[in-house]
Amino acid sequence: MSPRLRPGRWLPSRIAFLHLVSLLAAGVTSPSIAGAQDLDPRGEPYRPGDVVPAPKEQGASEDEDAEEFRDPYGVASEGRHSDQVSSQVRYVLEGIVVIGNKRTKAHVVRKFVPLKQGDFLDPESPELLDTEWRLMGTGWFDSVDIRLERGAERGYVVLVVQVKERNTFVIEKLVAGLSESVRRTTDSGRTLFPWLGFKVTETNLAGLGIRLSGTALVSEFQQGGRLDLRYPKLIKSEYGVRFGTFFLNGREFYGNNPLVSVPCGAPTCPSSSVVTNAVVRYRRGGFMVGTGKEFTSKLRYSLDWIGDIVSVLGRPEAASEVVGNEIQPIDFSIQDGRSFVSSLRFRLTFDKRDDPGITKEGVLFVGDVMLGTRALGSDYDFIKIDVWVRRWWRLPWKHTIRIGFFGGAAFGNTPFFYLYHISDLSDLIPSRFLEMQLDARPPPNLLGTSIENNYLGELAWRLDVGYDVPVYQNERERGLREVNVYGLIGLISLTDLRNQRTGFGGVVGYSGISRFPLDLTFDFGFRFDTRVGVFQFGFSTILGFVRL
Amino acid sequence: MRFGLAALVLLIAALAYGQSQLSIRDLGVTWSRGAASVSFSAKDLADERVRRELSSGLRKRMEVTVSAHLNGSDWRMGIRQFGCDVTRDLWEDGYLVRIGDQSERLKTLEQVLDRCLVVQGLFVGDPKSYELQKGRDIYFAVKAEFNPISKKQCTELIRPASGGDPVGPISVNIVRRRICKAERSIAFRGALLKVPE
Repeated sequence: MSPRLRPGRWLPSRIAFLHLVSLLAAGVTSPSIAGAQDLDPRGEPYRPGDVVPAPKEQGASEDEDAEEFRDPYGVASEGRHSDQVSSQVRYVLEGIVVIGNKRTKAHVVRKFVPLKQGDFLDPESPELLDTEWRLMGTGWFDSVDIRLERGAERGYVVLVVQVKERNTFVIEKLVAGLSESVRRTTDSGRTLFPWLGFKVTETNLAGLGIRLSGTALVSEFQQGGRLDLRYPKLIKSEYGVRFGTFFLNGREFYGNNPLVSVPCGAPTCPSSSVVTNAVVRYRRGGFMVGTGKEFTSKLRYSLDWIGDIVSVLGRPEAASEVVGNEIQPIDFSIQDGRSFVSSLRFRLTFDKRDDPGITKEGVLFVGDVMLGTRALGSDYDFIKIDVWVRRWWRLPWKHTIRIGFFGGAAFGNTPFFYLYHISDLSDLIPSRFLEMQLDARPPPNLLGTSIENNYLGELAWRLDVGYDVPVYQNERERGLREVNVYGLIGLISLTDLRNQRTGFGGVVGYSGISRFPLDLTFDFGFRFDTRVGVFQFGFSTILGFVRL
Repeated sequence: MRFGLAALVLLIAALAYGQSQLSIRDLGVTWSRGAASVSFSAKDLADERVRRELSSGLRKRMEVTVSAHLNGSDWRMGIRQFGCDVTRDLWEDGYLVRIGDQSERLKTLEQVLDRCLVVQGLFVGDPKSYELQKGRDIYFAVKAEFNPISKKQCTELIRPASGGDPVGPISVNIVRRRICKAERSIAFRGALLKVPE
């Protein structure tokens, strides 16, 4: 809290003095600014209820003003006025009253007010004025009105926070699409199937400001759900605490027409056959507990412990595929039967975007380190480091250009769901949702390189450039605010470091630049910015079905 | 494919048409030393809620923005903005009003609204803004806002609302835009007029 919101030590004597001031005020007409100046030339300290001067700037002389087109509102050449704040009235806060709250607890609302009983109150304090916005920013209220009412004695005021509650159950994210995949290893071809993912959140559980989110994926081949509970600023009013639990019933697809050995029990079964994909069926459940803190409004960190129990329900006995001019075994990157992954994740986020929906300028940096170790009881020892940075520039002709970079590396015995997948790098294949692979197609391989063999890897990067053109903009209360046409092109790379033949030196059997696992990715479509959120329609995953 | 393209062109044309619609009001414009000075009333910004909030005892801000535009173009040749901060003094039953670096005390809310929203002789731009447009049609657009939220505040409020990239062809990210609006705003424009030769 700003020191100028706190009463000084001289408060009791000054409060007594207030009575004298009120008596004097009864015999005086409206005090002028000049009168207040005479009373308190230094401007500080203030007495409750006193009128004190707004500081005058040392400005231009009258003659200069005349040249500058001065009018009753200032000087025309200034164009925009700066946001000056100068206090003129001070009170003492007698109490804070919350009204209109049916579900939200009053103490939860009071936490947002940067004052307590007995503090000096400056009705022009930016912190106090921001309280209304901060309360609106919670998403719990349709309207928030803060007003002052006269207190029991002159100079004392009561701060009244009047709220009108709203529905706090919101759909936070909704995604849908089509994918191609196989039900089991022995399927002869891939099937096209729809999928739907969503995240819903109760933002004010039990009126205590707790966020409870549910995320789900529904499709024919994969199902999963996740619950997250977040209590903001629980410890010392600074550190948030969150818990999460999830259960996934998934399939992971390996290989590009691999040779697999699948036990079927019947004597007529072939011992091995070439299939579309080798499929590992698994169930994964787990728990997460974490904390986080905002250093500033732009910089925050989080630290989580994640425990996963993975049960492999079915997988080929063995599988191999042709990579370059060699046949290599497929590493499923998961232990047979049941295994346990225990990991710590530290994330640092610097977010200076002007808008998370349709960003026009700013920068976003996310750095992520994940460590799985036997010291934490894990069956997998690994470390994974990700860096993600994006920078947006608003061009003079109102278009926006964006450059993005993602780089990540995983070392050790990393389970498949923490490895990098081609669908997370390429826009032409639907990304993983809840860390479940939705699509079994191989990389598009538009450059004809060795990336055609790489669907899962330990080293990944992506460099992309995006360009946004607003075709419609209107600031309005309801409906459409902006329509944006966007285009994006990028270069991606995915390498499996565990395999010596496909490592840094390129894949054996390829020559020249094609030895290096590179590919192009692109996307274009529309973004519709509405009052309720940003709807994006991208065409890349549809174009991904076209065999180029 | 052709149908899709035609629909897209129609959509963009309809949106562009919708964008240019602003109600027309009487604006008094006089020219002094080559610069335009405008007079108008935006007093209808002050509806019942705005009036109530102006009497809340906390500082409230009204912001008026006037811009000069060339007919048929979005290009803004001149702009002027002023803010009017109003704080009701609970114990003196008056209002402290500040515009720029000037402060004054007014007794009634009507006086406050007249001072802040009945604009008299506001210079918009300077002579250089109009020098190259002599004889051409221009108009003035006015926007009056009550308690506008700054871009910085807005960014900080909506920041945690959205996640990363979309995963599929159709995606929706919910962003609570409503909190980034001024509590109330009105906008209108004046009739076309010619820049004096």
